Amino acid sequence: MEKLDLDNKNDASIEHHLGNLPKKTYGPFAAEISGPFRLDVTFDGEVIVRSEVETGYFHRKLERLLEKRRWKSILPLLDHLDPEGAAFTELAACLAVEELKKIEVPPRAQMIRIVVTEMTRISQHLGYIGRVARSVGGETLFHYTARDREKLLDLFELLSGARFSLNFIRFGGVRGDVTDGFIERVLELCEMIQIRPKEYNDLFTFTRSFVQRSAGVGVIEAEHALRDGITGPALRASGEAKDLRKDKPYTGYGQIDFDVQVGRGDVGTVGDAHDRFLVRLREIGQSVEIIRQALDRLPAGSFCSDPGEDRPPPAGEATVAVETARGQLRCYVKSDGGEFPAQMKFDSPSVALVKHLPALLPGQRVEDISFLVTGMDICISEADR
Amino acid sequence: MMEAGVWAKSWERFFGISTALPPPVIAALGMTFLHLCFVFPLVWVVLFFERKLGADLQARIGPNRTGLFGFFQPIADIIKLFKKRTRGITTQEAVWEMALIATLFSTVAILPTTEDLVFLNTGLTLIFPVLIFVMIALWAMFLGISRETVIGVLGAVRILAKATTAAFPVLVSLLCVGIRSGGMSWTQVIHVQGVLPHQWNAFSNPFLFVAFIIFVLGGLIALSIPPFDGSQGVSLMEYRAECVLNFSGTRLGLFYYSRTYALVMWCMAAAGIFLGGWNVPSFMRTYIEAAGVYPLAQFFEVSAVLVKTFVLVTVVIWVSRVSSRQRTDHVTDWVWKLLGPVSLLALMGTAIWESGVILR
Repeated sequence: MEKLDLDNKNDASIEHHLGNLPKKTYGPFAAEISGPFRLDVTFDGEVIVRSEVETGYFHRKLERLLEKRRWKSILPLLDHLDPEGAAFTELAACLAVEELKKIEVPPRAQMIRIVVTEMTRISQHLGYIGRVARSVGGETLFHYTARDREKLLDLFELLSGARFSLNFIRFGGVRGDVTDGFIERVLELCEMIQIRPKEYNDLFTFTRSFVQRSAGVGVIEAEHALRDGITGPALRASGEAKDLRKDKPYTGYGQIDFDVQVGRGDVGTVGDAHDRFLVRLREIGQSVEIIRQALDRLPAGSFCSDPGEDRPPPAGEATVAVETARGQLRCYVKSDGGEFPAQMKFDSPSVALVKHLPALLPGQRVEDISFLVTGMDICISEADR
Repeated sequence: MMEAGVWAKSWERFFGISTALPPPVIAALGMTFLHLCFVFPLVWVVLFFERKLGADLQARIGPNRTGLFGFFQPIADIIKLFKKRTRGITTQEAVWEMALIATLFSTVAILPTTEDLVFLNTGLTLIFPVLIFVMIALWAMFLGISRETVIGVLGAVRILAKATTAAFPVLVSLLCVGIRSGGMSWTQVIHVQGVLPHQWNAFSNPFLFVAFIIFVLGGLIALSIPPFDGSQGVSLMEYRAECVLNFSGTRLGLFYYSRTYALVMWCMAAAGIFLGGWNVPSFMRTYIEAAGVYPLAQFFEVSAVLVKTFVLVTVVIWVSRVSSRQRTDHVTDWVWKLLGPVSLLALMGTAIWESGVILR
């Protein structure tokens, strides 16, 4: 369907036409969207002609709360930015504080951090695959990915005592060392996870019904993705090979060799919903490879530069970006030398993803709303903070 | 065409009902008996089986708390839903819902249970299920429109689109059967088939096998049974039909019951039309009648139908669990472009094949 030129706001006839069309509001709590946010959609028949998004329903003043806590006490609260990807938030904040304090993180701790963050990435991607499959009726794949994800979460529980909110990364390293038993279990898990993408592909990814629903649907072109600040797998699916782990390696990623997965339009158009799904599936394989390399390179030594160290950072500011499972997470930390952070701000990848929805949905069909919104992998928790 | 009143005599003979009762009373008693003693337990078992089979396919356990292996889970679900406090409905919604339910459950009259107990056995009985699903779609459409919401109207249109799209190939597939059977009544269709698979309509010639596939698929599409339930919401989470949005409590329980019954009814019709129906080895019937244990013959006939129905239901559940949901426009697209022309080819092929048989 030809998209209406809604940028031409002087055209009163377009507005009049749109005003006569039926509208529906999804949310803030709706089964179709991974809320809470509000999605207003205007239809012309079964085709969406306009959509608007309103966020903020999950704003908890997280950044302000962080500024009211002592430096060491911010770590448990950081997990609440993105509960699924807690390790990434912890890592970003710790890297920023380490930059302020000029702390050298031991090599062993760097490798452990890589293992934990890549396991978190695999966990998030499995959750994404399950949610997208469920949104198009693929319940079976959802249960399979949930089953595999449980094994990962069991390892997290073994490591840190918690399944999601790990509270494991510390300033200068990690909270505790990994044992040989844990390493062995992680390697066993890698063996299992490595064969899963093929199973998922056979069951779901390249089946006619899913290809028909996703190929050429919800295309995000590379220039639009860059314009809207989209990062991560959604940008890579559009063909842009941008990954901070390669472009600006941090915490030891410079020693790890892996491939950046980009969308190739295998069954449809580059940047469509199928590519966004496939990129994440392939990144699971790459994360397994990264974990293996990190464990191979795991040197002996300390797991934290100074576990008892409690001095606040000197006055200054630092900005650090990490590549999370959804995109780039930037953390800005400002210290005035006091016991409390002067300012903490996060720029999360979900903000750009939510902002892009009004451009993504027009031209799509009503039945694809849930699939497309789920496929954008929006975490309102980190978008609203 | 079956002689009027013969069916009543069968029921009188089977149940020992007084011959003084007027046939409509016997019909009412019979329909109630069929529903309570046949349809309800059947739907219960299929609901339980669907949960367990689906769980097994998804590497889960499924219900295992209520009764042995969770057998009473469907009852527990129904009781829970009936206890729920629900919103009121408008008069319009009530009318269309009642029409929908009454239309669907009127198909109890054509269930091919046994030769002696089927109610409606006229020359056009086989067309009845197709008429029913078109009417159900019509009532569902009115129900959706009566909701006066955007999504209700869209869901209504989708349901009717699928039903009208599927009606054509299904009707043509029934014509294929009519050519072989020489009629459209249950007795004609089932008597032309035999006990063994190669004697069934579905496997007697390749064109009728195609007609069988078209019949089953068409029914699933028209009745919005997974994986063709794209009209049901915009996501799996909204798995209740859009035109029946906000079903809860008793009405939601009735919706699940009705959907499962529709699946069973369609598979039973397919078993009767294409898979030999109630045919049992003739020596069994002869021996049983000679021994005077008359109801045992009906028991074996019903069992034959139920076994075939269950096999079909299993295949449908299996496919629905492993397949993702198709969008409504995709479904109507391939039904028009594929099922329709293929059904016509099957009709021509059946006509040529059967005429060859006659000439031979």
